[in-house]
Amino acid sequence: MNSIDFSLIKVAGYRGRNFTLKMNPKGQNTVFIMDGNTGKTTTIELLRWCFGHRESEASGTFKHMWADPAHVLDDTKKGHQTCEITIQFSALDDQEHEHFFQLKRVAEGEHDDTSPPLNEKISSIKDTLEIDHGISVLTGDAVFDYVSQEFRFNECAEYFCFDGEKAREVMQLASDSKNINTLLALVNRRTTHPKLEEYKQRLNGLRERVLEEAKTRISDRALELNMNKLNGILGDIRRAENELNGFNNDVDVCRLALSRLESDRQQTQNQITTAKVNELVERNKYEVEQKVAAERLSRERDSIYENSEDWISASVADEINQIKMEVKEKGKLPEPYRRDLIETCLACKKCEICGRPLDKTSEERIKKLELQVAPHDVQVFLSSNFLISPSSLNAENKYNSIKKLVAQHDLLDVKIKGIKLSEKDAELIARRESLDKQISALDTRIAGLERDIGDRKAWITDLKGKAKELQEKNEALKENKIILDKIDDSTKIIEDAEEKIKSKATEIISNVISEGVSSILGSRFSARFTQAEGLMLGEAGFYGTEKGGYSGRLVLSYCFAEAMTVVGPIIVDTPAGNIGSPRENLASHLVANHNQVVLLCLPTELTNFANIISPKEPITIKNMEK
Amino acid sequence: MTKIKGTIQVTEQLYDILNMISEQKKNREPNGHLARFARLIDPVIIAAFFGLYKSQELPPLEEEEEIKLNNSYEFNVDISDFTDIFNHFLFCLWVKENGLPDKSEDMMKYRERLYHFVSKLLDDKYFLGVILPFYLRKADESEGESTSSFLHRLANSDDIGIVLQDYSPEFLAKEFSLMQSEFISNVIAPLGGGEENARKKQGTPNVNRKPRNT
Repeated sequence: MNSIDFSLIKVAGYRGRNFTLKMNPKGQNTVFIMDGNTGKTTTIELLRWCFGHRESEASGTFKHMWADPAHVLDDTKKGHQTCEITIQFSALDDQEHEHFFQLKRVAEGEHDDTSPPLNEKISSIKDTLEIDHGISVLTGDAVFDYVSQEFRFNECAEYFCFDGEKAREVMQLASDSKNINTLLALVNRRTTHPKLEEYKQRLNGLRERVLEEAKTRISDRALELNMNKLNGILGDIRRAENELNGFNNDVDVCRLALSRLESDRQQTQNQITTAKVNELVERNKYEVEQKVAAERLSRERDSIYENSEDWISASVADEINQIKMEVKEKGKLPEPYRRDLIETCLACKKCEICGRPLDKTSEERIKKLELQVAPHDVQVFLSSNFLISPSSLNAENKYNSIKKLVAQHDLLDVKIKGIKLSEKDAELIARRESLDKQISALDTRIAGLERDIGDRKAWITDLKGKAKELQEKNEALKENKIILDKIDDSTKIIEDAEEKIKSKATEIISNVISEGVSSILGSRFSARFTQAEGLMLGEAGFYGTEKGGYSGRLVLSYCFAEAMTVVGPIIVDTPAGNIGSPRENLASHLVANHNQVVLLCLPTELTNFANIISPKEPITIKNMEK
Repeated sequence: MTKIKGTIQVTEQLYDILNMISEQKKNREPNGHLARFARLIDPVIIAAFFGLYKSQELPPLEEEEEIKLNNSYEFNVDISDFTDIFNHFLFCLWVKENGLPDKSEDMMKYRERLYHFVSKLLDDKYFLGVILPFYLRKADESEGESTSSFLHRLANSDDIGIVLQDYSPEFLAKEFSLMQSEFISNVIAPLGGGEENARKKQGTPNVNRKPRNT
């Protein structure tokens, strides 16, 4: 939007004051004659307030002269009040279509002597923006957002709504080198390219997301450390796999040996089983019986641990419930009280039932009562029915049964040993025993190897998991590093561009100010603004912080304000106050450089000034009584 | 509900037992007896009960810190059934030590102590940190010069051959049962309807042992 033109500023209820500034028709400047205390400064500061602070942040941010914050309601009135500021303006869009806007801020509240420092309570502030006579209406913070985006009032309200206070502030900033940073910050803000700033913020957001994803500070060092870790793990995997292969080979060899031994044993056993010799047949029979007894014995013992819950069972449920009942009855254990009630009584120091405050005696009594009240879970424990499975272990029987099996086994052993065998049969038995021992040893060895194989497999799985995790992390690190490097490059390009733009913009601003100064004060005068030295007025080519006197420096402030504003109109409070002889030139300059000039003049400022701004009669604004 | 989720303190012997079981359970066909315990927590439970039966002592009630044993073992198991029975046995032992309330001179003090004791039993942190290790330690105390501790013998019961030993499963079960009967006879039966009645129900012979000095 451009070609902004203010048509009306209406103030109603501000500190009990009402006035309306109705500007001349579009294309014409307007001069208002406003004597002391008729609202000149107020108008400027209300405009800055409306344009500079969004609705949700407006309360307590209004400034008036030296009061910061300042009150807006009438401090002589009681009860509910309203302060309403209406600003009407028009602007052209990109297709040169004119649109009409009415921005209204309504603050409601009341004067209150007990709420320092403002002594007022603002109950609500509401912003409304009517576009094109109500075709579209925005409310709340959306008003500020729209106006800021379309007209950038928020960026320069302090300069296009200009007054003596602001001029003095600029003069002070420009006259002392200690203030250079503040002045530069103002200019840098003006010269910051919004689009570049937006890109930079986006890149920063992207960087944060990448870093968040990587969960670590990306660096070559991190990458190197991870790579070393990964190489170590890959080495461990190779070692473990070699060991695993070795174990697998050993198991294969052992199994082969075992199958041979088992085959030998089977042959030997067949020889023993098919032998026609009576002694051998008898011995074989006892051995079978002995084996059965040993297996039964082992099963019996296993069952003892398998059914370990039977160990705990006991037929004492009735007895224990009887004990619990006796404790409860003989102990006259109180029924559960409301423990929370007691705790609340003690905490609040008053009876929660009757509401009376607790005296010392009552408090002591309640404390004793508290000791008598079991916590809920204790109450449940004491009053619940105890259950336990009846005894089922019968350890004595089990013991006797096993004892019999052991005795049977021993007896069979005696019988076996009592049988005399021929030398050849004894050899067969000895050979079988030898084979049994070898088979048992091999079984143990294979079991050990299988355990080792299981351990190695688990270790390899674990190592592979870790390696995969590290590999993924490294990939992410690499990938993220590439992205981050690109972000860094792009940020640097943007920052370089910003610096160039800033430098160029500073130069342009310097030229604009200088041209302004020359046009007002004459060609002997110029101005220079640099990032190194700040703002200086020059006379005959010599620059300094004290050149030009008060009048010259006031002009310099005007020109600085003009350079800082991004909108066409300028609304000035007491424009020619102390300007002196260059006032005609200042008037001509303002007319030439702004599409709309609105002056809020003292009656003493009109000569050689107002008529240059506008050929129309100035509009007198009288002090509207409260 | 009492759930162990984390480590509990265990004695050296119990630690060996748990490792043996854990190791054997990895094999498809375990050859030792200990691996027959249905759950890893079962020997811990058996040992705690044995410690209670053998000592017939109440746990330290004012112990502020956890009892530290030589080792710790990690579990994640619900043991509510066990703690309920164990707590009731401890409750009976407390009543035996403190008498029934009608014998108490100061009823208020009696209630106060009773509530405090039961609260302690029901405090899971205290149960797992103090009560359980207290009785596990009791189960690992040797019984005289000639007999090693219950837990030591349990650890040796894994593979004992075809012989009767004082560390074979059947002997340990029998000893456990005798200790249980003794506890019932000394603690529960006199309070809850007579020793003979309880013993009959339990189906165990009258063990002629000297009552322990508790």
